[in-house]
Amino acid sequence: MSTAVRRALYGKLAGDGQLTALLGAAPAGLTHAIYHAVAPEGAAFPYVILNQQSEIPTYTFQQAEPLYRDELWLVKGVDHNLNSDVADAIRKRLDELLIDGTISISSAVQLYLRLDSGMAYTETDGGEIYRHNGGVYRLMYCAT
Amino acid sequence: MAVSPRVLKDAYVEVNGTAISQYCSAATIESPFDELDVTTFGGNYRQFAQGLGDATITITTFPDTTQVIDNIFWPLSQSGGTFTIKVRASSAAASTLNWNYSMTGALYNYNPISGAVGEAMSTDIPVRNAGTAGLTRGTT
Repeated sequence: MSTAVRRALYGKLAGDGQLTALLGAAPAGLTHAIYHAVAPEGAAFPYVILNQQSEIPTYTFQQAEPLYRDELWLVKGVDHNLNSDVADAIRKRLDELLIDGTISISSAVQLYLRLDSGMAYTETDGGEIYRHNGGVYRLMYCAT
Repeated sequence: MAVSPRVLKDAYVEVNGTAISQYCSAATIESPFDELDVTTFGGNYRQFAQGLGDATITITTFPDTTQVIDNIFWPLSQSGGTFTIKVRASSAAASTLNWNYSMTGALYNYNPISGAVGEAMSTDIPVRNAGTAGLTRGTT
């Protein structure tokens, strides 16, 4: 189901004008600066990264399909900037969209979506400063 | 001969004539007996004899939004009425390789809501013995 969830999360983020207005230009062939796991080389800042951190299925007797899945997804903004203002603004919008937000997962019913833990940190590389701000969001859902 | 452990994934749980396996993630059958101390003078070891038996079948359930679990257990818990509970390690027909454990039970501690924010609601339901036959093991 991770493909369906990834697409649902992407759809939720890409469909929000407030969030996409904060992001840099997408590279040729893509519509938004929202990437799965890793940004393409040379991607313009700022952008959003999302990737699955864990998936825990809960089973009941006689059912090969889990009763529900409990997943953690990292979703964060990344900016190349001397200050954290834009990364912070992206994070604020991510919370607004994902805490109790509704995503459309193919062939599944969403049960729960909230922030599990937040994060904000700075990375330096070759003297350049990169700001990360986002969270690990907990999603629970069951197949229909 | 190699021993193949049994992995519980297809257990059968039936309460009051309704199969509820798909709502259950765990089942435990307990059948303790009182240990009666019958030690007499002159012996070097303490001796015990079997006393009265007891039986409890505890199932872990996930109540769903259709209230199937609560609609079964709430009336039983409030009335104090007895009912039959059956548990097998597999949903296959009961046999000498898949014993059916059965008893007439009653509920004395049913929690219709149990959980915390962000958790899937899950309730352990202990069914206590309420019949003279106690827990039985059979193929029917």
